[in-house]
Amino acid sequence: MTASASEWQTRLEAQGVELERSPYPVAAPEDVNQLADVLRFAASEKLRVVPTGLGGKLAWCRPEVAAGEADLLLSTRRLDAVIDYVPGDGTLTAQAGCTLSALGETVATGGHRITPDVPRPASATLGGVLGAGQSGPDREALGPVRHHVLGCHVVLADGTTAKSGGRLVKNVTGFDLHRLYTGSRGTLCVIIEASLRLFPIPEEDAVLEWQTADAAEAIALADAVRDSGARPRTMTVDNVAEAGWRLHVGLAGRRKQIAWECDHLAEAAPGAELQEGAAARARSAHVRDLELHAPVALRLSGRPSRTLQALQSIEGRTVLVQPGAFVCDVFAADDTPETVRALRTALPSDVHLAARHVAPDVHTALARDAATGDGRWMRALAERLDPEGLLACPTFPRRP
Amino acid sequence: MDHSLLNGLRAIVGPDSLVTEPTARFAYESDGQMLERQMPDVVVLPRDTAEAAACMKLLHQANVPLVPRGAGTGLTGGATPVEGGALVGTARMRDVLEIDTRDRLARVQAGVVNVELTRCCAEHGLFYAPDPSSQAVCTIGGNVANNSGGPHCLKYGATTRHVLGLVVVTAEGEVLDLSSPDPDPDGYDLVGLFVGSEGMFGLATEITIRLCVEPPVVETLLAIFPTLDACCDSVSEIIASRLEPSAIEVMDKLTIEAVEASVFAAGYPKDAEAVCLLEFEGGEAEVAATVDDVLPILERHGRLEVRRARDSKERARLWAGRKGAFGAMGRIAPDLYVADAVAPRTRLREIVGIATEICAERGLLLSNVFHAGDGNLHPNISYDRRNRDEVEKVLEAGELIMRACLERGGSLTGEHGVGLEKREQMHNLFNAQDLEVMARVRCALDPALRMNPGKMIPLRRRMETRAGGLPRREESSA
Ligand SMILES: Cc1cc2nc3c(=O)[nH]c(=O)nc-3n(C[C@H](O)[C@H](O)[C@H](O)COP(=O)(O)OP(=O)(O)OC[C@H]3O[C@@H](n4cnc5c(N)ncnc54)[C@H](O)[C@@H]3O)c2cc1C
Repeated sequence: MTASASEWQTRLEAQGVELERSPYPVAAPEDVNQLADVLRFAASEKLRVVPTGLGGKLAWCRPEVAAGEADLLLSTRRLDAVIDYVPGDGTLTAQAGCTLSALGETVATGGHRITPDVPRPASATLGGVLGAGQSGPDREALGPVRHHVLGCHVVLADGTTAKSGGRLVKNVTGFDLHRLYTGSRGTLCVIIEASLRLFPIPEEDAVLEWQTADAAEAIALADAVRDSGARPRTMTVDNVAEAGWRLHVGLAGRRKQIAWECDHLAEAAPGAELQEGAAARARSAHVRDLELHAPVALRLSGRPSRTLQALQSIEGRTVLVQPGAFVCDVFAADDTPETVRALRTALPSDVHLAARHVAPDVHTALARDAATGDGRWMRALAERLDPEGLLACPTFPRRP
Repeated sequence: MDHSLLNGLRAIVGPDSLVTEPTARFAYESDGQMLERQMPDVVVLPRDTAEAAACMKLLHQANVPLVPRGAGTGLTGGATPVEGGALVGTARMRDVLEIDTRDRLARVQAGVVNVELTRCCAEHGLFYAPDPSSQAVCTIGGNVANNSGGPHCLKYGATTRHVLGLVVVTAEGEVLDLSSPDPDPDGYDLVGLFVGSEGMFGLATEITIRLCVEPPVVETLLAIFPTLDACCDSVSEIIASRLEPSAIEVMDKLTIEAVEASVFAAGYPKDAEAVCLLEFEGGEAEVAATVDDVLPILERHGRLEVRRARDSKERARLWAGRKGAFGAMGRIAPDLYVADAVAPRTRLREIVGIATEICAERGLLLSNVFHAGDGNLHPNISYDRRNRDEVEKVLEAGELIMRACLERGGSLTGEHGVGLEKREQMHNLFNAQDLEVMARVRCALDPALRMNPGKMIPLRRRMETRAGGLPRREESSA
């Protein structure tokens, strides 16, 4: 950084850019041209920029912000236009600053819903969700968010605007750069617009919940559900509540099918409490929002068959697990570099451990080396798309 | 090609896996798109990742262009070695390395043939969903490179939704494992980026694939229509009604006639103007409810008859006709230009109508067989490649159809890729900045631009790239 913070902030405001100064400087451009101008300004001032929506995921996506190692947050929140909802084609194109709840309302008018079903959709922007690569519990049936991004418009660090993909449900024209950008946490570009594939609002929802004695029983029940012929929309295991472990299964689809699946599961995996309709939807939203119960410190992932072994290696921790894909969010405890290294040793070697909300030294302890393997390709991509390192993050995708 | 290099390659793969004789190399001068041909200087057929890496390291040191090739069924010249060099084929990488029935995944070598994978896991009630019509021949590696689709991708999604991990050999001969255990990876989604990159980032040698569970119930319907327009409109309405069949395929009269006169004869009515093959999969009640909703739509659009496959044998026969349609067209003319366009599903009838007009104006024979459910059209033009004049007209018609699609919110390719064929048309969809970003990404992963040169990125853009027009972090900060 060349000038003092207040000097450049004054200069940026003089360009007509809306700027909040505290607790961090956040610029909120009113349109794409202004956003590109802010990036060029930041490049000339050698500022470290962090793209953001409403900021809800910054703590784990860009820990350098809290550590005071970023100069300017660049928010897309004012780019909030729905560009094209085509009910007949089941697609939606919107600017990055739209919230998922606003988009959900728009597409509900045509009988559609959006995946991912993320916690706090009213404060999650499309750009933020894509940038973070955040999927919801509906990943169980529908797959991760990046499978449903049909195309993107982005602004690179040098102000170049570019698109990839399109607005069509099937399209292989050009490289799938929108998949690269999804989950890149704003380190490659600022996503300004994206198109999504939509799903029908289900005719019926139901929720089944089993209270279990321990993780082993919950996972055994999850296996029974998985092998039963039912096709859950969501499946989560957690031990957040006082009552202990539970398995939650969300069903969604054609009315008669859901009725059959509920009956069938009552036999294949007895002992569940059933909720239907609005009560089921409310319960599903509650379970989806468990992710917000406390900061998620760590994320485990691997082959689904490793789930129980992994849970047993981290006994005593509060977790929220999707056993179908085996993704396990581990809630914060007093993690230190030593405790996470011990955890790493205890876990099966093919279970991956990644840092979320943890202190910078824990992040560093888990960050993988950029010089080797796929890290070399990641670094090369970041260097080509952002030669000045304007958007670079010290710990993501790999330690430099 | 330099003798010591050939000897080095021979020492790695053995004499039987190095093709140097011109008569044998001739077989590799194009893929299924035979309008442009070029012989490779050498063909190498490594047995595994280690052999591929060792060969590619030698070729890197000698600065030789590399062209990956699977079965060569691509339809855009993707595996055509336009700049000569070495063609690295996966024909000897045919092992299924692992089938994990518990975690429902398979790890295969890149040269495994698509249908072979499903054959290997069928006894466990599992299958590999992407089912290109060429599936009896094409390889999983080729499917990955082209992000291939097929009729059932309407429900299951194209290849990219099924690839969990990749082992890749880079242009320099380095082996990278791009697999991430997390479905939302902790790092860039390199697998997602690699799928559909048409062999321009590296050679995929091992692929981890998601397997799907056989549905409890499958229902297959053949709806017969008096006009192609009515057939297209019924598909648009099914989609607009948010109904979810697993496949919706359309064939027109000329296709039906060709199929019925061929070994793929499926019992399609020869006097129909169009047929729609619909499949429904899932739980019994779900399938029944969706079929109940679809039937009145077909009726509203004037369907003449709806036939139901009574058993798996009848189902297989109906599908054999669809999957053999391209092959059957060989009866009509020696060559078939298979266009691959995408349109919003609200505009199927319109685009098909325009393609008909364009071909009629030029006296060209057009047939339509397409993945209607995802808006992926294949207007096919029969021609004879020895007739230069006809070839010109075919190419012109192909380009005009594509333009019409783009003007209506469509795209250049839904599943076959850009390759050589549509390289210059990329300018019609993407502006210079869009293409520059693609070129930058390519440069990042293959700085010497030796992997499958001459594909996808239009020539003008490539020349600028080669002249060093794109910055890198060290250069720009120096
Ligand atoms: C009759 C017929 C029907 C078809 N139907 C369909 C269809 O329904 N859907 C569809 O999507 N396609 C279809 N195709 C097109 C074609 O079959 C697919 O694109 C297929 O995936 C190509 O596989 P392949 O093994 O033949 O690859 P090739 O043609 O050998 O190569 C295709 C591209 O992939 C690259 N490549 C190959 N292997 C690798 C590797 N291991 N690593 C990196 N790059 C690699 C090549 O360089 C080339 O660019 C059809 C083709 C024919 C002839």
